[in-house]
Amino acid sequence: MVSRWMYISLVILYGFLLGPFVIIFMASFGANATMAFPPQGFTLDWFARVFETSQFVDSFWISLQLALLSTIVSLVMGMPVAYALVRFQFAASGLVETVFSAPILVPGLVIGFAMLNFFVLLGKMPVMTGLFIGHTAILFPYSVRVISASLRNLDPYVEDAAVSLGANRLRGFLLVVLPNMQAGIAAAFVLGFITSFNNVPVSLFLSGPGVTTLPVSMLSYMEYYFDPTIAALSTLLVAFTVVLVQTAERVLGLSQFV
Amino acid sequence: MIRRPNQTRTIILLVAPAFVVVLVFFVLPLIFLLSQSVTPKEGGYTLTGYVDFFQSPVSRIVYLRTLKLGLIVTGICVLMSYPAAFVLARMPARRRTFLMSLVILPLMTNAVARTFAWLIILGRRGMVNQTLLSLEVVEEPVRFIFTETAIVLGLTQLFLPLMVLPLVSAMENIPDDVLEAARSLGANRLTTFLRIVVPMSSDGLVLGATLVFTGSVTAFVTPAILGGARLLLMSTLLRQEAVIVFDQHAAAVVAVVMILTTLAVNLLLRLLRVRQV
Amino acid sequence: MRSHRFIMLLLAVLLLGAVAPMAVAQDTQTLTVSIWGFNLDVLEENVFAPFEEMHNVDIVLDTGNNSDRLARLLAEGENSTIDVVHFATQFTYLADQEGVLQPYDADKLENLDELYDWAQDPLGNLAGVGYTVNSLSLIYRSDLIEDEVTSWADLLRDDVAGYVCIPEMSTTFGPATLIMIDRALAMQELDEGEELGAINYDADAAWEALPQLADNLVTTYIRSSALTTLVQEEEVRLAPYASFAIGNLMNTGHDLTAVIPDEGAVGQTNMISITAATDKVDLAHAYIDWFISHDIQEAEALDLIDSPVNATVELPEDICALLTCGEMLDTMIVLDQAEVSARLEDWLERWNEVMVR
Repeated sequence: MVSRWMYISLVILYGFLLGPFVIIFMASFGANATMAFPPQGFTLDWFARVFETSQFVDSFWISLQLALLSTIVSLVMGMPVAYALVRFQFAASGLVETVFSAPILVPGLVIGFAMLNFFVLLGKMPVMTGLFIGHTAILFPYSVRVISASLRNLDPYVEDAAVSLGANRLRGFLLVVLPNMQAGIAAAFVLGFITSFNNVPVSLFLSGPGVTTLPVSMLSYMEYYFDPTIAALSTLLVAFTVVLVQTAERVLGLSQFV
Repeated sequence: MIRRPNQTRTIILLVAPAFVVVLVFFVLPLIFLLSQSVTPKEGGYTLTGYVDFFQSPVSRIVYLRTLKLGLIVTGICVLMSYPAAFVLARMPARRRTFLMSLVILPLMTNAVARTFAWLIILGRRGMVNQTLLSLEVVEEPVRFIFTETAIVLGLTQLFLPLMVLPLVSAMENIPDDVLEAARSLGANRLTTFLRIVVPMSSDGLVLGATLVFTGSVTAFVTPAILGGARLLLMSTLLRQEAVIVFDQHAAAVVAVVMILTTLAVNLLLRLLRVRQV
Repeated sequence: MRSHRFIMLLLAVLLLGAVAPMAVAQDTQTLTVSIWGFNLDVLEENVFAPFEEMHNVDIVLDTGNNSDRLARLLAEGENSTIDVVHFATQFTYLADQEGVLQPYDADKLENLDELYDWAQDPLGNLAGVGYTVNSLSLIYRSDLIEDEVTSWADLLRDDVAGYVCIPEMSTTFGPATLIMIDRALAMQELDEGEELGAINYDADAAWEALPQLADNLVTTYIRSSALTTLVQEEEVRLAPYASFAIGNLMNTGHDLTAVIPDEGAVGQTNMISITAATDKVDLAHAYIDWFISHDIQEAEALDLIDSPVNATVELPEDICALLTCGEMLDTMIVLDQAEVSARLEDWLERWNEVMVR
């Protein structure tokens, strides 16, 4: 059934998906300060430049903090929602499901814009708090969905058994349900972390003086300089992602949740 | 299912905290946005913002251009992914796992990094132009950056994985027996593909198309980098109205039109899926 | 009851999550400066770092182009965290009209008297102090464009089609570019010996020629850095440029020639103002005073960043030639901001209608 031209299409697909990464990789080692192709010479200077540029280092830490914090909070708050949706049947479950999947349907740029206007209405708010709220909100759909999926795979009678043996509901949840959901939680965590860490549209409006996320500062750096530093930084980020994604895929089977 | 007398209370306690957060920090801002879009600077409630949006040649051209590019990108993604997804779905599990993780990779890298590559590829001194020049196809380097072609290429690369993933998972569910049966009954490869594989994977196709199209019409980074200040799409128009022209009313209108467009597409394609079942 | 405890735990975590980022905020005194993101490394070394040391203060930067930063300032109004703001005159004028600035106190600025008269209070209402002057003229690739460029109207020439880049209408020099093209077109209509009249702020002839100009464009630029990049990558061969970008443009290593067109260059003063929202009025004055002091003005000029407005600064001739200084200060054209601002809203719309196609 699988013919030769189908294999060719596979090669084209992967060439198109991964080719740009090869180009970035090559450009990050080129000795020229411009982006002329093919790059001439070899240097590691651009990688050094990444670490010397305080704009990148500062915003990296901010992005890291932000991604960890908003992922954890959205998980901790999303988990009970997922639990309620899977274990109980109730009239408003449709509404709850819709509300929690809404942030994925609304364009990120619109969310950022609406939140900025709304926060201004509320008064002085630290930039980091605004970013944190924005990122947590957009992560809810992921955590609720992924955790619901992994809860559904879990036999509810195991939990019922624990409860009938005298454990209370919270203990039953902590001792029986939670350990069995480790993979789902980890997958939700990785997915949430990456989503927040890479987000541009929401952060774009919510960033402020002195507080910028890494992708947004990459975007503004490009408006001022056009040299292989961005390529070097991108190469580093891709390497970081490859390690993270390959590990997660091997251990958790990430692609079934995306 | 566990039944307890105070089940309702438990459910409320489980759902309420997150629900309140989403309500206050997500739903409320959107309602405020909606109200901004109908309250112009002069005061009062009016829909003139929307009338202006569809009457002004600027926003009308931008809106239609956005939809057009979204359709083109979706079309290219379908054509590129369909046969490839089929190959992937028929592969031995281990090899497929590896190849699928490569598909996710671009999805997991930030859009700025991915779009940056296109500047190197498409620039006047970029790869494409150098190749064209050395093959003497052109005498002068061609301008690709700040063109619709550049945006389409960038968006396609960005959203291709969102088409491949649902297609592969839909095609995995087609049993080998069905395909073999069709073949043994004399259908050739193309017929089998069109008559069996396509209908049986249409769920994945619809889902993929929804994701790619809505992604394309709302993406910001790619049109911002590859379209420049002049070749605007809805997202870059929103940004321009909000921070450069500083017309919050007009920006809110653009934002609401973007939401309605995505919602309409999602609903439409969801209906399509329901009908097929 | 049990689930209550669970909820309490959840709430505690949430609270912790919400409070944690606020705790990160440091409590040393800060001065938030709103400024362009251009040449920041040099500014840091020349201006910010010594000022931070002298006054034991952290300077926090809010960067962006004029309109971007003005928009944010207007949106935040009294809640703004910005203390001092750098704007081109036109945007200082707009900000002042909206009431987000406060007048400066001349008694708190020791160095004010050293400035040229026109820089001390460019808008005439104490809305801000001029701290540098720059000018708009043309730059082109003399190795790739055969016929010399001498006029603003050369932007319309056929041989440069596809290689021109002009400032966006929403930027400082957007209206100026159009007005100068209009002046050039008017000059072509003149008979022998006839003198060019006053500036025509309606720029009708230029508007008529705009669609033709649009066809010549690679794109428009909002930031001078974008122009530098486009020149570096050989996308652009001819463009109006702001004098403060000359250093970066020359660094691209291409054969570039800067010309003051026959119709003249457009001069423009950049200003520093104190926001109405700030409560650090003294520190803000100290910052302005520092920026207009002899030493800073000289250091900035020698690095080809900011042309000085402090009359006590004397520059070597080769430096002066690259900046907006000396004789040029007397000959450059200065536009009336009230005239430009009155037309701006209408112009933005007309501009977009041409450019979007």
